[in-house]
Amino acid sequence: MNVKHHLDDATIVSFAAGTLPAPLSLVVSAHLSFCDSCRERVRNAELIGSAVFQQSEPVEMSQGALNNVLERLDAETRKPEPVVSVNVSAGRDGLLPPQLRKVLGVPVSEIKWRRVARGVNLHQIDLGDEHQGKLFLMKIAAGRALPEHSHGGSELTLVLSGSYSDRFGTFARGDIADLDDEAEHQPIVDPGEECICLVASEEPARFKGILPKLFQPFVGI
Amino acid sequence: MFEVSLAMNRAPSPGAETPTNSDLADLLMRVAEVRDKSAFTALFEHFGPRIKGFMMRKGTDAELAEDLAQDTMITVWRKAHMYSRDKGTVSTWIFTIARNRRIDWARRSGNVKFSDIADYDQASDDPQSDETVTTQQEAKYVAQAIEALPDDQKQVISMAFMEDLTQMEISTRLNLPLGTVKSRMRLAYQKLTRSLEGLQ
Repeated sequence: MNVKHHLDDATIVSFAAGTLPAPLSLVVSAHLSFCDSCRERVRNAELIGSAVFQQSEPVEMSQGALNNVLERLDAETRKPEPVVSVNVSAGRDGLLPPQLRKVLGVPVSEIKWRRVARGVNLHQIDLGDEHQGKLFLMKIAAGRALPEHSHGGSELTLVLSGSYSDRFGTFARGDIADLDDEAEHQPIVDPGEECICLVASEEPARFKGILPKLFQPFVGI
Repeated sequence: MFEVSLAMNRAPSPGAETPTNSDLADLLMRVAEVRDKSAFTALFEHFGPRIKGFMMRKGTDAELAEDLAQDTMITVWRKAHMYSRDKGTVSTWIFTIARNRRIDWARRSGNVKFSDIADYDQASDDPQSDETVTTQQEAKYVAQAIEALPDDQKQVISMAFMEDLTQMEISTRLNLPLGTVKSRMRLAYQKLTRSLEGLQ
């Protein structure tokens, strides 16, 4: 896959450490399913964690630990884990990376979109209550602009279909926009096709101007 | 305040073997292909205490560290077929499983497992790593590269990998803008990657 926009090194490092908030981790992981070079970069960063792991002083396991584990393995061997089939082959074939299918549970064609403005639809994905930040799918009509906004924290946007352009370039399927809290941008969906993106934000986005402020509570981003 | 130094350059205990990645990968292959309990036992004896020590080093109490180490090894048994040598060393692979188990425990109230979220792995076309390098040698090399980083970069790497802090948490703790934390991480990663080119 010809991915043109990649993850920031800092995001790669945090993902490898396991300290990226869950919504952001999921978008990173989905991008990695499109992008060999970022996958390789994550592997490099995992060497840091691996070094910390291997340089830790070993601590003896409790007595009976091995037997306990072997017994649990025996129980598993007798009762093999059922193969979980993910029923999302219907609808838009292969639009969603596998991690996202698991979390979403329905094909894109069955999503109940929430209209938040003309040509702008959202679907928030619930990852449980303890996660820092929000995860949602966004479907924006061709030619539609989003209000210019900046972010209170990190924001990751992965394009799943269609494309949009902003001052950082044109983003198509597999491309990721990895923006920090100082970046401001105004994405405009390219003509011809609606654009579906997976977006994770660490903090609510800050829209500029009066009208977008009114519209922010409804958007929830 | 916090531990910046990651390198310990511990002398190997007398008689302790330092298995090569090839040795460990062979054991894992026997687990994957013929569900070999004696191969699993050898892996358990090598990695179990290391996982427990790793968890305790991050401040986990001994009992929980023990549980997480056992869970990690059970996951190793289940997922042994997913390891391939071109993804890196067995130690690094097991580190990622241990990391995911720990995060899943910390986020146990959430309804999604980190190991599902972060399960990005597929076979890649990367060239094989050098099988003769022992995993301890690799770890030592990386630890030295981390040690050689400027203090401000070493600090953010340590806070992420040892204290499990997010970028926002680091930014709050150090009273620095998020952008500064990110740029230190970026520089650290770039320096480390350059040093690691010598390893591959």
